[in-house]
Amino acid sequence: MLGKPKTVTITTCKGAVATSTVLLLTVLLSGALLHAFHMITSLSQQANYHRKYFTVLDNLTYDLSTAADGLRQTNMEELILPATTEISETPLMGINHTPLTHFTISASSTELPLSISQDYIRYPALLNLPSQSMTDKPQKDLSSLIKTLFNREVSDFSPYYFPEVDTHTPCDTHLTSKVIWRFGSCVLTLNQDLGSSTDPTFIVIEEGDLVIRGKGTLWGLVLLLERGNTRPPRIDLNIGTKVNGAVISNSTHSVVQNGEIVFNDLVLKRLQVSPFMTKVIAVPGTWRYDINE
Amino acid sequence: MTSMNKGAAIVDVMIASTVFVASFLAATKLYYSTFHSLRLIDHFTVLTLYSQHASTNASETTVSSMSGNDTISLTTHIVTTATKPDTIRIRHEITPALTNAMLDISPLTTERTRLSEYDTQWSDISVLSPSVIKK
Repeated sequence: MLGKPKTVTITTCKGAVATSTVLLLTVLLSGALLHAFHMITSLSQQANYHRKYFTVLDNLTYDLSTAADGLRQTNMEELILPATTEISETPLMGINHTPLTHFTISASSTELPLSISQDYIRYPALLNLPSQSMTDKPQKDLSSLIKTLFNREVSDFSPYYFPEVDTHTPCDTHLTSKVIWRFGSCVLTLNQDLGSSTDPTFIVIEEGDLVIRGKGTLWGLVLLLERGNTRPPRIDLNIGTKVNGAVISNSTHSVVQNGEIVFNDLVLKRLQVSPFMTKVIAVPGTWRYDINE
Repeated sequence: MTSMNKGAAIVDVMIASTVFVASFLAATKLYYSTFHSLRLIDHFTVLTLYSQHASTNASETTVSSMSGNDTISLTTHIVTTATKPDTIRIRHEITPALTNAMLDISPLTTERTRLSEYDTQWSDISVLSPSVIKK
């Protein structure tokens, strides 16, 4: 009679412990599941946020580069910009009165509290203007001509240097491009002027001669580029033709001059500031971005 | 089956479930952390490419965490070198934060075509003598 209550008590205790353990583990499992659900939801939201972030950043960067490219050839006042893009401009003066412009372009997003900005410098492709004496310099000085004018070694100087250049149009057709890079001799027949005093042109003749026929005037700069592979270039101007600006070469050259070459510093200065001769470069280390959570 | 056996089986099931859920949570966390870090590196790549838009042989250091939700903070030291006229090589020297050292993020070297369509070099500006630039 005395053993039965003892058995019931032990069994009841064991059952209570098991039940408590099950309940405790159930609570823990429920908590873990809730935490997992919360974390997955949070990570999913974070991933979506990042996708949106990169999309917005890409759009802002596009706005920035588009504005910088627009500033290469257009004044800030004339540039059509998105409402969220702002530009500040500081005109600068480099050596030899070279015109430079410093820009700070910033773009902000309307979707996210994100804004980016970058500084740029606008500068001329013709870094230094040729002087009248450059046409008569000895060979040892002529070899550094390209470096002086364009900051490139002859081997690195290519049409790629210029933002707007025509390498395909032959010289015997009507030339309209502003920078013309001709491989081989260039025979120009000018029935009318090429370029003007206010709108000069720039012709690079690589490994070839310059021949001008007709009665017109070429306004601007002609560069005879030699890479040391062929004979010295030749300048041949027929009677009645004229170059108003300058003709230069990085090597010794022969001249058959029945026409006229008039060195014109004003034309060269206008050429230097022409939109098609202007370049834009980002200032290293000036990328800034702000994101406020 | 006795009630004790039933209780023990339930306990075993619950322990196994807890271990499974904990493993799942740890794996998910590690996966997203790694994924997140890779996105962050990509983020720096984008920033670098644009900030070095046209310049060559330049370097800069960027320190940032991407957002308030992030626990990841990277320091990148970027060195660009002109290998060809239209190509820049970018070396990312990445220092992971201590909390992310376990991710063992290696430096990246990327070679990309320059975004600019024409040849620009920062040394061009030096030719124009920035020391005498005046407003």
